[in-house]
Amino acid sequence: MTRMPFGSGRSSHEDATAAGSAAARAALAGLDGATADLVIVYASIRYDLAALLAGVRAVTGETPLVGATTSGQFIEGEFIPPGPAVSVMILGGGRYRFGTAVVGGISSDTTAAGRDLARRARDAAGSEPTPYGALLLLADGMAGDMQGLLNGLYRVTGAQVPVVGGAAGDDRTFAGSSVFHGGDVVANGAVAVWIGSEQPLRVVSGHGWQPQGLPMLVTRVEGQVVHEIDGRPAAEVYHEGLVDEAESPVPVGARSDWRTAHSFGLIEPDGTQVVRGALLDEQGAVRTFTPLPEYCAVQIVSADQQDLLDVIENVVEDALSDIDDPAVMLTFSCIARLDLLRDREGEEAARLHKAAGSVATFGFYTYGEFARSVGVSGYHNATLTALAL
Amino acid sequence: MDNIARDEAGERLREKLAGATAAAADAYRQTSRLIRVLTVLGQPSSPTELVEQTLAVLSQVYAADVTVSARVVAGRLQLTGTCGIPEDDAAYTDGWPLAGAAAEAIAAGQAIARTGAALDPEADFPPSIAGLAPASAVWVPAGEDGTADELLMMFRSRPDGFPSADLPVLRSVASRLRLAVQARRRTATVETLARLGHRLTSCLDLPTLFDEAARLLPILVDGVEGGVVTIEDGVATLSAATRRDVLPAGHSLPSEKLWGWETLSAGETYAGVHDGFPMGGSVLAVPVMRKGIPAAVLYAFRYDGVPFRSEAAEAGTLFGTYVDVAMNNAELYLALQASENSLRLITDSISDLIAVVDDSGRFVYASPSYERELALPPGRLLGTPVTALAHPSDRVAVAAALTGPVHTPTIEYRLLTGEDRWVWVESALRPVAADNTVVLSSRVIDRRRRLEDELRRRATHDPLTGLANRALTADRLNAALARVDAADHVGLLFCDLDKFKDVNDRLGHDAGDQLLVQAADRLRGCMRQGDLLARFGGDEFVVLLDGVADLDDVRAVGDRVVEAVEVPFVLLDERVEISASVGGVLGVRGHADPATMLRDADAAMYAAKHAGRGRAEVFDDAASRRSLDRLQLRSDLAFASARGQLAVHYQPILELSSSRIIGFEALCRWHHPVRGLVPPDEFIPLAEESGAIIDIGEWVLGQACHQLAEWRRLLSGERLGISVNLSPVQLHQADAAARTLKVIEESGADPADVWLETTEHSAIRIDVNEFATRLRAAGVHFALDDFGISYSSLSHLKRLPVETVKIDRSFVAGLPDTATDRGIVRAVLAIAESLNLTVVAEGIETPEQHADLVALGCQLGQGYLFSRPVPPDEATALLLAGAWQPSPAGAA
Repeated sequence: MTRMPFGSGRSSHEDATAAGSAAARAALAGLDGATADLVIVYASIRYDLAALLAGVRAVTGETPLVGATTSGQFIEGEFIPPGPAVSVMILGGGRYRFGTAVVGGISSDTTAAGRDLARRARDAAGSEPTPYGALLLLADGMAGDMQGLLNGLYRVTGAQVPVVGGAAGDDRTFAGSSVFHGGDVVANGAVAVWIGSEQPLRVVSGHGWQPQGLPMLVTRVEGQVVHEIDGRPAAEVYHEGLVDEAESPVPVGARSDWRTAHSFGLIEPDGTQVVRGALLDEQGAVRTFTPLPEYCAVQIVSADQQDLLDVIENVVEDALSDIDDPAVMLTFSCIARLDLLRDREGEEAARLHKAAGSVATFGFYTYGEFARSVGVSGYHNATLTALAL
Repeated sequence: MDNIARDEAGERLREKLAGATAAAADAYRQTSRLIRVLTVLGQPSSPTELVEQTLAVLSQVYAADVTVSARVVAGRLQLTGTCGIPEDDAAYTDGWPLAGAAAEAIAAGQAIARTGAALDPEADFPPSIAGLAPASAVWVPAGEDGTADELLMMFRSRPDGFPSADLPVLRSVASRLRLAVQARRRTATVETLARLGHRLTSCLDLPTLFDEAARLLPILVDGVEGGVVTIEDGVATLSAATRRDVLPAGHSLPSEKLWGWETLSAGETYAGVHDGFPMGGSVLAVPVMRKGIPAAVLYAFRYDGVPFRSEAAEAGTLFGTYVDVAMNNAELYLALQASENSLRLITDSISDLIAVVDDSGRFVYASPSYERELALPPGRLLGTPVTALAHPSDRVAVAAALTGPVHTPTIEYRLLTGEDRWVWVESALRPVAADNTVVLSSRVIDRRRRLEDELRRRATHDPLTGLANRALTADRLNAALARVDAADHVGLLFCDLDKFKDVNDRLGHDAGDQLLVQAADRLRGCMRQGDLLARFGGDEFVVLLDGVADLDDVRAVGDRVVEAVEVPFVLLDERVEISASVGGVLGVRGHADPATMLRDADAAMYAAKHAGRGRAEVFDDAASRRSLDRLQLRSDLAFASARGQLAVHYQPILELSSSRIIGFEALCRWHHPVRGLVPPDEFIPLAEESGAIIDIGEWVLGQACHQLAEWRRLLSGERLGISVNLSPVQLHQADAAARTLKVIEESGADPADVWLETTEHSAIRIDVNEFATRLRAAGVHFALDDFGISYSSLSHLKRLPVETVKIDRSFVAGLPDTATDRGIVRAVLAIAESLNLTVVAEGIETPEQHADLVALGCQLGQGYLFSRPVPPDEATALLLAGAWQPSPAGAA
C-alpha cells in the first residue's frame, strides 16, 4: 500500500478569490504532480465564499471539492484563530476512491436528509464496491438534530462504515454556517465524502472530560431545554453540580453564558461519557446545544486545560494504529475546547502535529463533532475526533 | 491518629465512593435503557417507523452495531426491521437462514447471549454481518401462547457481552415491541376499514360490488392481489379478480375443491400458503355466509409466501360482514327493480308530479317524476307527511287543503327538494272518496314565482344595497302607524353620511357605491329584529323602528348608527373616515302622520349636522315645532330678496384720533312681514344652509358698491371705503372671483375702495388662493372679522392676503378696566403692527373705550358710540356732516 500523496496550503489574503487561489496553489504544489482526487476547503465566513471557491477552483479545476465554514483552523501544527483565513488540502494519487454529495434544506427532516446524502455519496463513488469505507461528513450544525442525520446515514451504510466530521462554524458570530460542494455554498445543508478503501478505516474520538458527582436521570426534556433531572428542577441540580471556576476572561466572541468548564456527560453503555455542552439561558433554564434524550442517564462532567490537552496523544495514537503508512489525519476539534484553552489555544495544534509525527494534521474548530464507530450514536460536543488516511 | 493512617483511611473512603458512584452509574444506565425504549414504544408513529425507531434506540443504549427484528417464515428469518444493515443488502429480499443460536432461541422460547469463543461464526452469524465479525450477540424470541415466531437480535463488534441480567429486560422489550406493532397495525386496519367499508354499501349491483371487494381486500390486509368467487349449488364461479390473466372470468369448479373449504364451510376465515394453481403464495380466504353455507369467498393473495398475520385474518372477517350487508342491499334492489319496471314504463311518461296522499296526509304513492324534477326518490317519500316537505310558512295552508280538498282545489306552496332547495309548486287536489285519499297533481312553478318575486322586489327595493326604498318604507310606516291596538310607538331615523360627496368626488362613483353598500351592511348590524332599513337615494338612509317605548329608544338606535359609521371604511385599499348625522322622531300610532314624521326626522338630521356632524339628534314635539318654524323661515328667506324685504344698512368706520368717517360697513337687514326685523345671526346661517346666501351676498355687495359710487360722486371723488361681509359659502362657488368682480365693476365703484370681510371662524377649508389673487390683483382688499376669538387666527392670516383685522367687540367691551381684554387688544395691536396690518376696533360704545383705544394706538373703529347701522339716507347725512362730534349724552 503506497502512501497517499497530498498537499496543503493556507492564506489570510484579504481578497476572497486571491486567498482561495493562493491556498490552493500551495496545496497543489505539495501534490508534486500526483493526480488530485479530492479538495477539502475550510474557510472563515468573513469571506465572500462563492468568490473564494471560485479562486480555489481556478487552480483545482473540476476535482471534487468539499468544505465548510469554520471557527478557527489548524494545519500541520499551525493554529489559525477565528478570522479571515482559508486552509486547503488536496488528497490524490488514487489510493482511495472518493464520492462526494450534498443535500440542502436538512432542517425539515435530518434523517431523510442523511439517507439521501449517503445514497448520493455512495453512488458518486462508482459502481465497483470497495471492501471497506468511511464517510466524511460536514454539516450546518445549527440546522436541527445531527444525530438524526447519522441515523439516516446508518440506514444506508449499515454498521461497517464509520463516520467522521464536524459541524460548520462561523467564527463564533452565530450568524450562520455553510458547507461547500464544488463551487456551491450551501446553508442549512450537509456535504459528505464516501471514502472507498482497500483496508479498514478507523474513526476515533476523545475528550478528556471527567465525571463529577453522582449519576442522574434526566426526567423531562423539551428540545434543547432540560426541565427536570431526577424529578427536580434541572437548574437547581445543575447549580449543585457546578464547582466554582475562577473568573477568567472570556475569549472575544465566545458565549459568556456558557459555563464551558461544566457540561453534561451522557453515560454510554460502556460507562464512558459523551459530552453535551450546556448553558443557563437568560431565563435561568438549562439548555444543551444538542437535545438530550428523555430518560437518559447523565453525570456533570468538567475539564481543565490540562485534561483537554492530555487527551490529544491518545487520540492520535488510536487514529494511527491499524493503518498502513498513513499520510494525513483529518481532525475535528470543538470550539468549546478552544474557548476553554484560552491562553493555551495554540497548544492543541502543536501537540497534534508533534504526536502525529510525519502524518500531516488538518482540521478546523467545529460546532459539534461526528465520530460514529460503534452503534448508531456518533454526535459529540467538546470532543476531538479524527480519521487517518 | 497520625497522618499516614488518616491518608490511608481517606484513600479507602475515596475508593469506596468511586465504587459506589460506578455502581450507581450502572444502575442508572440500566434504568435509563428500559425507560428510553418504553418511551419510544409509547410515541405515536406508523408500525414501520415504530420498529425502526425502537431499533435505533436499542442500538444507542446497548452500543449494538446491528439490531434486527425478524419473523420466522417457512423456516427462514424474514427481516421486519433493521438498524445497521446497509439498505442494499440481500437480506431484505432473501431473509436469513434460521440457524445456530437464532434457531435455538426460537425453539426454546428463551433469550440466548453469546460472547467470544462461545459464538459459532458459521451458524450464528447471518451472511449480512459476517464482515462485522461480531464479538458478542443476543437473540431474544417473542410470540404468543408459548410459540415464538419473532426474534430480536443484537450484534456487537466489541467483546463486552450481554450480561444475563439484561436478558429479562430484553425479553420484555421484544414482547412489548411486538404488542405495540400489533396494536398499531390493528388501529391502522380499523382506520382503513372505516374508510373503505362505506364504499361497498354504495354498490347496488353485484358485479360492481365484487369488483370493489376484490380491489379493496388486498389493500386492507397488506396483500397484492384479490378476487371473489360466488357459490351456487355447490359450484364456485370466479366473479371478480384484480389479475384477469390468470383465470378466465366465469371459470368454475366444485366448491369443495377450494383451498380451506372445510374452514370456510364453518364460516371461518382461512389463511394458508400454497403452490401452483392458480398462483403460488399466501392466501387469505373470507367466506360470506348465506343460510349457513358460503355464498361467496373473498380472496387476498401474496406472492412472497409470507403468511397473512392473525390481524389480517381478523380484518378480513370484518370486511366480509361489510360485503355481506352490501350483497343483501344489492339483491333487494334487484328484486325491487323487477317489480317496478312495468309501472315505471307508464309513470315515466307522465311529466307532472303525481302523488296519492292518505287521510293522514302521508304519501302512499309518488310518481318517478318526483325524482326527476325534485330529486326526491319516490321510495323515500312513501310514508312521509306532505307537510314535512312544505315550507314552515306554508304548512298550515297545505294541511288545510289536504283535509278539505273540495274547498281548495289548487294551492301554491314551497317544497324542499332532495338537494335541500326550496321550489314553488302548484298542486291540483282531487279527492278519491272510495279510499279516503287525495290525488295530487303538481307542477313546479318556481320560475314563474321567482319572476313575480323579483318584480315585486325591484319595485320596493333599492337595487344597489338591496334595502327597502321610499315606497316600501311609506307603506310600512303607514301600516305601523295604523296598528292602533299596539301599546308602543313607532320611531323613525333619518341618517345622512357626512362627507359622502367628498368621497364620491375624490375616489369616483364606484367607490361611492361601495361605501354605500358597506355602510348599509354596518347599519343592518344596528337594527333590531323587525326594524326596516331603507335607502332613499344618495347617501340618505332611513330606519323604521316598529315598536319603541319612547324617544330614548329612538336615540339609542341613532347613537348605535353613529358609532357604527365612525369605524373607518376601506375603499380601494384606502382608509376612509366618514361620519353620520342622524335625526330621529317618535310617532304615536293612530295620531302621527307619516309625511310629518319623515319631514321632522329630516329636520332633526339637519339639526344634528348643524350641531357638528357625527351625532344623533331626536326631536320631541317642541323641537319639531321649532324646526318647523325654521323650515318656514328658510323658505320665506328664499323669496325675501324678490319681495323687497331685504335692505342694506351702513355703519360708519372712523379714524379714532380725528373721528373722521373713512368708510362704512354694509350690513344686511331682513324685514319679515310677520316677524318684523329678523336678526342677522338668525337668518344668515339659514341662508348659508340653504345656499340663498350666494344671491343675498351678491345683492348686498351690489347695493353697497352702488351706494359707494353715489357717495363718491357726492364727495366729489374723495376716497371712502366700503366693507362687505363675505360668506365662505360664496367662496366655495366655482366662479366666485369672476362673479364678485363683475358685481363690483357693474356698480361703477372702484375695486380698491372695496373691503371684503370674512370671519375668522368661518371655516375656509378650500384653497382660496385663486379667488384672493384675482380679486387682490383687481385692487380689492381683505379684512378679517372678529379677530382674536379663535385660536387659529394667525393661520387665517396666511390663507388670505389680509390687510385689516377687526378686533372683536367682546374684547372692546372690557376696556379700559378688564386687564385680560386690554392685554388681548394690546397684543392684537402689536401683532398687527409687526405684520403691517390695519386694525379696526368693533363695538365701541363709550367715550372711555374710545379714549383707551386711542391711547393704545388703535387707529380705526366703529360702534354705537358713533352710530348704529343706519339706512342709506341717514348714512349719507352722517357723511355730509363730516367728522363725528361727541354729544353730551355720549351716544349717537
